[in-house]
Amino acid sequence: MAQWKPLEKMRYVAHDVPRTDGPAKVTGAAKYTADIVLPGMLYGMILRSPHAHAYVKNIDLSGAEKHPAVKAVLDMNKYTVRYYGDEVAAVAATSPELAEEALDLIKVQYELLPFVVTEEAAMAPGAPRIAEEGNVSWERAGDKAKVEQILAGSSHVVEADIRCQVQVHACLESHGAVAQWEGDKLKIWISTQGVHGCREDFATYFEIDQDKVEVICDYMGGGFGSKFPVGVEGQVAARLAKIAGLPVKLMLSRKEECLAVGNRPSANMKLKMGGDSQGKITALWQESNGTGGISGNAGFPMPYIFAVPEGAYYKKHAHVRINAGTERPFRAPGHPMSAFGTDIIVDMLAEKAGIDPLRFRLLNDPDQSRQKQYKIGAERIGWETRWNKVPGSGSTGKKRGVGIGAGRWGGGGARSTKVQVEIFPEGKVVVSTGTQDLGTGIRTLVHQVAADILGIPMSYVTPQIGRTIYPFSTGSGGSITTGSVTPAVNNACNTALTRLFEKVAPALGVDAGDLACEDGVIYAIADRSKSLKWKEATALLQGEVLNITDGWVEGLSSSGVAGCQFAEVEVDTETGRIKPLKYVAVQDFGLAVNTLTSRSQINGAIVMGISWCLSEDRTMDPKTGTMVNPNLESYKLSGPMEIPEIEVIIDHMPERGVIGLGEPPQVPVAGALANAVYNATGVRITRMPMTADVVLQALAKKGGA
Amino acid sequence: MANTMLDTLRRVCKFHRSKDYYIASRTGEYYIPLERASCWCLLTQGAVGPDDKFVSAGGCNPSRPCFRSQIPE
Repeated sequence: MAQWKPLEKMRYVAHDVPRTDGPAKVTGAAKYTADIVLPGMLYGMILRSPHAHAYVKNIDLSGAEKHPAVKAVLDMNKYTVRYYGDEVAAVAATSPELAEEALDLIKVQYELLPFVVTEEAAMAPGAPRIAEEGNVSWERAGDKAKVEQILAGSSHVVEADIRCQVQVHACLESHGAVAQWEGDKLKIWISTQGVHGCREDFATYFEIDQDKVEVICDYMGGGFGSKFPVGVEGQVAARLAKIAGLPVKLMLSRKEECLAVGNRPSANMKLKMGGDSQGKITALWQESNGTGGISGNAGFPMPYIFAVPEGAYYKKHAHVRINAGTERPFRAPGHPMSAFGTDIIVDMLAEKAGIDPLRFRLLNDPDQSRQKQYKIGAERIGWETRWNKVPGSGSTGKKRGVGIGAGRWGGGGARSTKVQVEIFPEGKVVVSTGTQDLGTGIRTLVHQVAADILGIPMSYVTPQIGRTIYPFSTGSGGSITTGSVTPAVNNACNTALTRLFEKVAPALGVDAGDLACEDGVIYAIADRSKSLKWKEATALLQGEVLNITDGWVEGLSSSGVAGCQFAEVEVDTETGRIKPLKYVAVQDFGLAVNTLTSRSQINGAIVMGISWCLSEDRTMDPKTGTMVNPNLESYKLSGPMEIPEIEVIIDHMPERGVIGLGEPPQVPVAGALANAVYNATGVRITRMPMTADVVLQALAKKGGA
Repeated sequence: MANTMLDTLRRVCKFHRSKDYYIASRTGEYYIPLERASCWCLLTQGAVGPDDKFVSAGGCNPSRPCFRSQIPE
């Protein structure tokens, strides 16, 4: 199996390396999809349902078709609209304003249907049906009676009602595309997590060969799981462009983002957990529901993190359909909900058993990595001095406390990933692969790995990604991008270097196998006086461009990561405001290819987790079936005032090879925060978002702080 | 093995999509789709197919008018 070059021989890998594309991004030179402007380009816009549930009885496009600025009109051919914001029709016009004007000219006759926008209403007897098969799909595991018997015999039992609300996708860059047809060839700029996946999907949809589709995503402003599909917006842009015979740009508005590009499902769980006299978990009981909008999928893995004896877990979970925008994968799908519920119930059981929650975790968490990480994190947060042995016993007014959360994730690598390496006679190296950077920094990682494997300065290397003209690479999701791409870069560069050695070995009078390259010098391992500078060596190519394409190999990546986080918060008992003060994140992800971008990744995950826990809340109006806060003014994301000091501790395990980091650090954030709030106030808040009113109500219920 | 894979492909609609479609190696195992995985239809880009019925791993089968086999007959 392949192995990574020894770390001591690498100048960039496992170091802090600023992003290759940082200057382009901060100067505006980087062109995102929304920045693309083509000659004669039209602007697409989608007409959306104003109703939560209705039959489309008739649609009259003639008004829009007659508008002089309109060049293409589409009927989405919907029989039924099932949520506020569902797509009905689309137009392309010469300006965004005129496109919006044209949408007003489309007349749709709806037959209104009853709707439900809460899990409770959707599950109630006689609730309006969203699908023929009903609103609820049950998932069951374990023997309820047996688990209840174990609980009855346990020394300690705790129970909690836990709520994780829906979190809508809020990528900085909205979803959208710019489509251009040249004959039967489609060229499309699209904000996507998979340029090659989009190529296949556009080709399938339009019944053309894949080589007639070129997909470009040079830069993107986040995806978080919501940008795997080409989306209605991407497909409509291409359809409108085909009809009009002109390029079409269709970028969604923030309102459309809130309504129609996916969300993290809710999770409402009643949990019971038992423990024995020694502090070991005896059983876990779960009855829960969640909604993923009209599609209903709303699962989360349980038991989570902690060992529950075989046969001692019972689950009854309802996947519930409601009349709201559908779920999509969202950064570590399911896991943040699992962790939130688990971290809270485990903390409660630890208290009931009279055991420090840190020690309780050490007793019950079977993962050896986290066993080590808990101790590191506890030391860094100052657990011994900052954890209130009596929750809420700190100073009056603004109370401080600390809490723990834990997470896990998979990752891995896709065997299908290919990388092309071109070595030019003038010494330049171009490394190309059709991956895409959804914000994790993969362009920089390609750059670093290529330079280190070739043994040359990064300034000699140009990384190219984000286009289907480059070799196939997998979609970016499941935290597999780094584990897919960097092994392929490693392998392709090794192959290219071997070929270059074969070319230059005669000039040095040695065998190619006896050569190495470091710091831009190719030399004979046995006699360093026999050497050539990189550019002298490449000059020997004599006009030929050395061109190698190679793929992913086994041995350079793996899967399975562990992490834990410690939060310190301050709760103002007069205003109800929770202020996160500090997070300590301890995270393993194998070989940290870039320690700087890795820390950025963890920082971002913590901010996103805090945002979900403290403020984000999709508010559905049960009377109108609409989302009443589809904007970033009243759908609140964390801002600078909510971002704490973050200390990242990379639990570096280079011997495991590379493993992705995009998702795992978001998993423990909310649980750690909830436990810290309890430790600060002595009041257990189990429902998100923990807004000031929720905190004040909880404090009042307890009798004031 | 090859026949089993071909048989599987014949039963899976070519328009059925999920996250795994874009990131997993599409081995035979992939084509035993998770019943509750997040999925959508390529044609509509939504949770409902062109026939106004919901997309699902088991439900996107040859009984539906919009079904297309991965393997052309």
